[in-house]
Parts: sequence; C-alpha cells; structure tokens
Amino acid sequence: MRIFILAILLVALIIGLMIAVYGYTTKEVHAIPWGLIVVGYTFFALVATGSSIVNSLYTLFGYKGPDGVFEKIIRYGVWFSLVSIVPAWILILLDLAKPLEGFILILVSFAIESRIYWMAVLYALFGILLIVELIYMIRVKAGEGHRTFKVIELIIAGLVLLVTVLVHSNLGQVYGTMIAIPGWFGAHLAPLFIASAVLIGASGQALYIALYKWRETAIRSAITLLYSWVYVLVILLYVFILGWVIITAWYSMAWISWREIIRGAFALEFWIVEILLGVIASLALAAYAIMKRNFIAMSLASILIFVTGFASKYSLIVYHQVVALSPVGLPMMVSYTPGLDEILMMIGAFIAYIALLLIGTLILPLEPGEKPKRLWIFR
Amino acid sequence: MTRLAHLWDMSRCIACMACVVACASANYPEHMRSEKLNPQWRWLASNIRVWWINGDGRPRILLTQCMQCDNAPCIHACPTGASHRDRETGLVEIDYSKCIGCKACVVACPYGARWMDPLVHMPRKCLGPECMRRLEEGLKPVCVTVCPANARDFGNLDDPESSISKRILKSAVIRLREELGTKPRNVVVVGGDLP
Repeated sequence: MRIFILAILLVALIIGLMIAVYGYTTKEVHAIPWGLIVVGYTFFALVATGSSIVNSLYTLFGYKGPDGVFEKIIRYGVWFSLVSIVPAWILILLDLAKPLEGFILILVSFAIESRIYWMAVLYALFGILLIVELIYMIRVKAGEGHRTFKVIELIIAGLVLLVTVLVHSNLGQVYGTMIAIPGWFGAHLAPLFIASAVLIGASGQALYIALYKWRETAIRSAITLLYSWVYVLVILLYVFILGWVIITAWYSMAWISWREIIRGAFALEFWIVEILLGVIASLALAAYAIMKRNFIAMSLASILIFVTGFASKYSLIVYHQVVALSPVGLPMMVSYTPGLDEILMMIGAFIAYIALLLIGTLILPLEPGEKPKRLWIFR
Repeated sequence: MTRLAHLWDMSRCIACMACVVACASANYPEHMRSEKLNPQWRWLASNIRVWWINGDGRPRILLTQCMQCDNAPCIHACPTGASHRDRETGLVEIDYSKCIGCKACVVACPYGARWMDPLVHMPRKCLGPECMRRLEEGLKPVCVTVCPANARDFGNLDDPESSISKRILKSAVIRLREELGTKPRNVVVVGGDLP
C-alpha cells in the first residue's frame, strides 16, 4: 500500500512539474512586471520562513507547547518549512527568462547592492540550514545525554532563525526600496512580512500536521491550543502593523494605490477577504478554539488564514503596481488579470509541492524517536 | 567626462509620433512583423513611451524614454550587474549575457521607461541596438534625426559646445520627478527661447 501511494505521489510530482514547465513555455508578457508568479513565490517563501519561526519556539527557545506537543510534531514542522521553500524556488526560477543559468548568474555576479542578489544568497542558506537541522534532528537525539549535541542543536536553530529574520528583512527591502512603487516604498514591509509569514506559516503547518494527527486526541487538543494562540497573538500584531502602514500611506504618495485598495476598485476584496475573513473571522474562530479546545474551529481558522494570506500578498504585490504614477507624478491605472501561463505555473508548482510534502512524510522518520530506515544520510 | 542625454522640446513637438515609429522600426524591426508588439505598454515595440495627460480640459502628451539617470534605480536593483553604466558614454546599458529577465529593473524605474520584449522576455530600453550602432558612427539616434519639428536633440551635457547644451542654456527646461533623487539627465523643454 505504501509503495502504491508513493508511486502515485511520484506521478503527481512529475505531472506538477510538467504543468509548470508547460506554463513556462507558453509564457507571455503582462501589463505589470511582477504578477501572479511573484505573488506565488513571495507567498511560499513566507510560508517556509514563517513556519520556521514557529519551529524556533521549540528548537531555539525551548518552549515545549501545550502538553509538550512540540516534541511530537517538531520534525513534521521542520520538514514542512524545508519543503515549502521548493515551490518558491520553482516559481521564481520560472519567472526568469533564463531559469537554469539565473541562480548561478546571480551568485557569481556579487551584485551586493541588489536586494535580489541577497535574496538568492539567503534562500540558499535557509535551505541548506534547514536540511542540516532536519538531518541533525533525526540522527542525534539531542537533549538525551551529551551536552555538546544540545549546544550544536541550539547553534543550528539560532542560525536558522537569524537567516529567517534576515530573509524577511531583505524581502521587505526588495519591495520597500522600489521608489517607483509608492505603495511599497518604506521600512514597513519587513515587519509586515514577518507577522504575515508567521500567520501563513503556522496555518500551513497546522493543516499539514492536522492531516496526520487528527486521530490522536491528545495531540489534536494540544495543537488546537498551540496554533490558535499563535493566530490570536499574531493577528493582533499584524493588524497593528497594517494599521500603521495605512495611516502612514494616508500622508504620502502611497495613498494613490492604498486609496484604491481601501475605498476604490479593490475595496470589496480588501474588506471582505482580508479584513472580514482574514482578520475578524479568523480571530473569532481562533479565540473560540482556545476557549473550547475546538479542533474544527482551529482548522477552519487555519484554512481562512492560509487562503486570505495568499489574497493579501496578491493585493500587496499586484494592486500597488496596477495603480502607478506616471513620470509627471499623476496616478494611472493599468488592467491586469493573471494569464493562463501564470496560472499553469502556479498550479504545477502547487501540485509538485503537495506531492513532495507527502512523499517526504512517507519516507522520512518524522515521528519522535523514530529510527531512520531508508535513507542512508539519516543513519 | 561624457554625459550623453536626450532633450525633448514639449513646446515644439507636434505629436506626429514619427520618433516613436522610427525607434520601433529601426531598433526592433522583427517586432514590426510580429503580433506581439509591446504588451506591457499596449503600444509599439518602441523605447519611446507616450503618456496622455488630461489637464485643464486640454489633452497633452508627454514623450518619455530612459532618463539615463545619474543615480539609476535600475542599476541598484539588478541582481547580476547586467544593468550598468557604460564608462565611455555614461549611458545606462544592459549586458544581455548577464541579464536573467527578472524584471527588477522594469519595476524599479519610476519613469516606466523599460518594457519587456515578448519575443525574448528581456527588458528593452533606450538606446536600442540600431541607435547604439549609429552612436558609434558619430550619428544621432533615429528619433532625433526623423523629428520634423526639431523637437529632439541628443548629446553630451558636459560639453558646452554641444547642440543640446546650447539649447538647454537658452530654454526653460525641467527634469522629470527630480524629487525622487534619481538625477535624470534627460531634459524636457517646456518654454520657448529665453531672452
């Protein structure tokens, strides 16, 4: 049965990659330079790094979670963070004109002034560190006995968190240093990205772990409490930062695009999807889940946060380009709808992502104390 | 030092679009036979962009192209160093052997002066290949040559004897969106000859 499922997942992985590559071969130029593909890249990058921040509560700060649940789910959490960076890489490489040479050309150019150069360096570091962390976690049962092992584990976890924060900070700068897009320009995007990343990373992680652990009553109850608390605290933080972003925008050129988002062409989406569903409903569900230890409410909140998290990235990246300034500083609006090429690349990357996530769960020893049986690297 | 730049005289321009068409046909002739021209601007595959401005009930046009900024955001944004400043001409150029088509330069330009070529998925900008060739031969870019109203000029801003410097001296000129700190070199003449 296991082999059969593995075979199906491998086929799904190949199909996903083929759809993405087919989308790439039909690629077109669109009205805005950074469209759906860059939204997808940013979203998955934030899922990976946000999930990694949640993991660091245990790996670095030693928080064991309600009923010590972190110990039972941490390997799942690290695997989720690691694999979530893959669709981000797939999408950003497919967005390039030269996907195969692109990454190498960036690394060897040493264009240190460019934020995108640092993005490539930091994502490579992030991936490598997470692989090291996962291997180390599986090979060494840290905490039991040797103090040195514990110290090494802490150093790796510290480096992962450092790189994660740097990634967010740099991603904020990729957008925040674009003087051409007033809606992005400024220092506010890094903290907004961190808060948003923790939310969507935690929600993705919660859904993935719930898929495997929903039958185990103790874990189900504990993850309900753990993730719901993360949602409540971080949604409040996110709203605080978003509020300040909008207040600041009111007094600057950024208002030309924010005005359209808040009370113009995109207002319905902003108030219904981002605020009503993404903030108010998610907050209410998470609070209810805490009070009643209700797993369904936590799962619904996770779905809402994950989906509206994507919508908010779409809004942040696309709408601020759609409403732009002309060379004389007058507002102008272009029309953008994602093309079939972009949709195919997104769907393909998503199928490949899910397939890879499930394949890893099948073959990796992710249960606490589980001995590696298959892959030599973990033995 | 050489600081080449364009001048566009708004007060002389008759909006015939000869410069736009000349740029497209000289620099990107392959696009003239293609169905995909310039989907990003919904326009010809030309490095000159036309902005229609409705102000005071009187429609006006503004023609822009790469401003050859001294503090060019496209150069700072480029992750491979493909967008760079040529040491001899001082022009902002693209090294296509290094360009990966990430579009960061297109997003970074506050003048919307770059467009993505749908045939190769690479950014294009002024000066195009044919104009660069003309420059090497000591000729002016095609848009300057074809203008029937003498509304365009091109030359070295640091040479007081160049035609562009002389025109700037006796005209009322502006540089677009200087408040951004990009230090654009290109000038727009907004008024007639100064006394």
